[in-house]
Amino acid sequence: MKYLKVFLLVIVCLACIFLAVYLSGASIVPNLLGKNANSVAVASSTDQTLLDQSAPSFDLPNTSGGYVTLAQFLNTPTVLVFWSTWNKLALDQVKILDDYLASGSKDAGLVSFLAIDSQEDPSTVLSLIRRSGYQVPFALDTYGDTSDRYHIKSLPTTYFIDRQGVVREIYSGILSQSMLVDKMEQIIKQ
Amino acid sequence: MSLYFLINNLGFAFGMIGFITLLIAAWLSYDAYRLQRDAPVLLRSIGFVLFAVWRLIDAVNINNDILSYIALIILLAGLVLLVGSFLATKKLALNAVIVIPAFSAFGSHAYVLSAILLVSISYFSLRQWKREYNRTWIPFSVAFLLFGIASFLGSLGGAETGFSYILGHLIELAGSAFLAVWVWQYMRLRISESFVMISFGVTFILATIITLAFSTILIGRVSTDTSANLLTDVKALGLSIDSLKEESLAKAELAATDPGFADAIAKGDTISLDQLSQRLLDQYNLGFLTVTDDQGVVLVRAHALARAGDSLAGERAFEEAVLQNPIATIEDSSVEGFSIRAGAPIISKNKVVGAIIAGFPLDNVFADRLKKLTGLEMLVYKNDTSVASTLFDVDGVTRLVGAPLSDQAVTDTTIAHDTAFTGPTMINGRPFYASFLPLTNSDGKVVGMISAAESEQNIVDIANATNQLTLITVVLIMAILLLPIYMVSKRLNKNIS
Repeated sequence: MKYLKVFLLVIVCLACIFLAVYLSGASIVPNLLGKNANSVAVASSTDQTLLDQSAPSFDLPNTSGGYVTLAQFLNTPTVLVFWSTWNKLALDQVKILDDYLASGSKDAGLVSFLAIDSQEDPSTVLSLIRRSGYQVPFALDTYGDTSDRYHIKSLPTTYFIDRQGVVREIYSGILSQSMLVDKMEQIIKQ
Repeated sequence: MSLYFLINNLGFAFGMIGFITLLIAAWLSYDAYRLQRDAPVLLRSIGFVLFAVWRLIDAVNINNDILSYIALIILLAGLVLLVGSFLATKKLALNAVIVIPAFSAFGSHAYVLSAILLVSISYFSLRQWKREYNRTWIPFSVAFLLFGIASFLGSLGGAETGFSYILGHLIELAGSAFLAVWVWQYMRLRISESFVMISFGVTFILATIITLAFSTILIGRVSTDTSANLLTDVKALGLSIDSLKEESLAKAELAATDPGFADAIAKGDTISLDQLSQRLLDQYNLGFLTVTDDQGVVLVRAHALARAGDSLAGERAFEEAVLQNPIATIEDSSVEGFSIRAGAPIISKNKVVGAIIAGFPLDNVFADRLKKLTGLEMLVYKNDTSVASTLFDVDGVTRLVGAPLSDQAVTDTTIAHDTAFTGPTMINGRPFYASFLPLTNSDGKVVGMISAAESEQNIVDIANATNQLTLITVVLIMAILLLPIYMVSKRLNKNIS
């Protein structure tokens, strides 16, 4: 009887600890994983038409006078970010992507990135890119054809495409670096 | 040395004192267990060890999520064992032990739970005093009550330089002192244990002092170097901004001499205006280029073609341009925001027919570029309110802009007295080492500030890493030195017996 009480007490206390850690952890884990409640709400409002479909092809001018096509990214997981200079959130998304590439992460070398400027005059975009010093690869969708094919309704929108060229995730809204890494890891594994 | 560094090091010192006291208490408990072979006393001893481990992890401030969670579990498990040992003991021996260190770490849930457990232990020990008429429990009970209060203060959160944080640490130190009094009551009765424990305690106290001395010297050095580097960087930024003003003015004047503008304005040819202005924006690498008529109505913005028709009348760059007095200034505008702006007149047949306003926005992109060049966080202020920043909120997606600077010393020095400021300051509630340089308009009036900042946390992280390494090294050295003392004390004890 003497030890039964101790035993019961220990059980109750351990249950309390588990509950406290579980409750604390529930609010912390999303941050650790780079997810938050808002992101779920935003993501659910994204046009998911292309999910699990082959990514539409494109052939767009880049910022160094050449062209960039989707075919160039075949056999490599690819992240496409649709943005525009006038949209502050989209611009911040490019900055977050640039910070990630500058961090020298190993995963960054396993994935191709392309920031596609949507429906803006090239001189405006080029002026900003020069001014910023961002090292993200850019493409110019001046007339919005590619944006239309990708069903872009809001900026920024990010597409995660696997090695086979299949769209694995579509995210509307801004992604933090940890969220970006989390989603990238998923397409690297696929 | 800034307050933040001071508190960080004091927190380390207090934590180490708590750790030493707890470990001695654990030793005494174990010793009591050896005599009585009573399971609850063993539980108590394990509880103390777990607390001591948590106290050490917390004191050395390891910034690792996994380790922090493990430490939290260790802390709570230790507390539970201590409470359990009290409840399970029907008749407590006088030399039984119960102690608890202080808190200062994670989630508020854990803090509150810990506070409850600590106060419970205080209550149980008080009850024990009443039951046994044994006054030796009083310091023990007070110690736990103080730890409980410190833990509750920890659950309130707040900045590390905040009142509750500092008060919590002071209460925690007082709790450790009461605990030491309680421990000493038993220590003084035992020659051998006293000898070893005193040596052990002195070892850790010396290790703490040496560690603190090293980290204080290091932090002082790093702080001085950081201040000097920041001042140099921000002065270089000042020169860059002056050169951007001159560049804007030269390019605006050059663009205004292009006869295409006067022709297009005369003909009302907006397509030519669009094409020409975009070509020049690209050619001159400007941040923006705006063409207005002689009344200030925007005919084209090369950087935002859709935005035209508004008026720049009243803006200094335009007003001076149409007076044929080209200038470069820093001012706010509706589309480009706070920016370096130069104005030059477009002249046709000796008459001003319009103006070119060109320059560079002092926006987030500008701040990002500067961060790339310097590696420092950059902020631009319009008056005392940030309009551009490289800093993001904890969510990782929200730029920290729009907040006024709370440090009156900075605004007094930089804005009121047009002088650079360098030193520790709070930016958006976070401690930074920062330099602020005034931004002036064409009249020499201060209209804002540019700041280069280095997070104090980065410097404290260096200090904490030094603390950890120095502590381990010193403790290892002293432990080796302590071994012969322990053996001698054991022999002495045997001889006395």
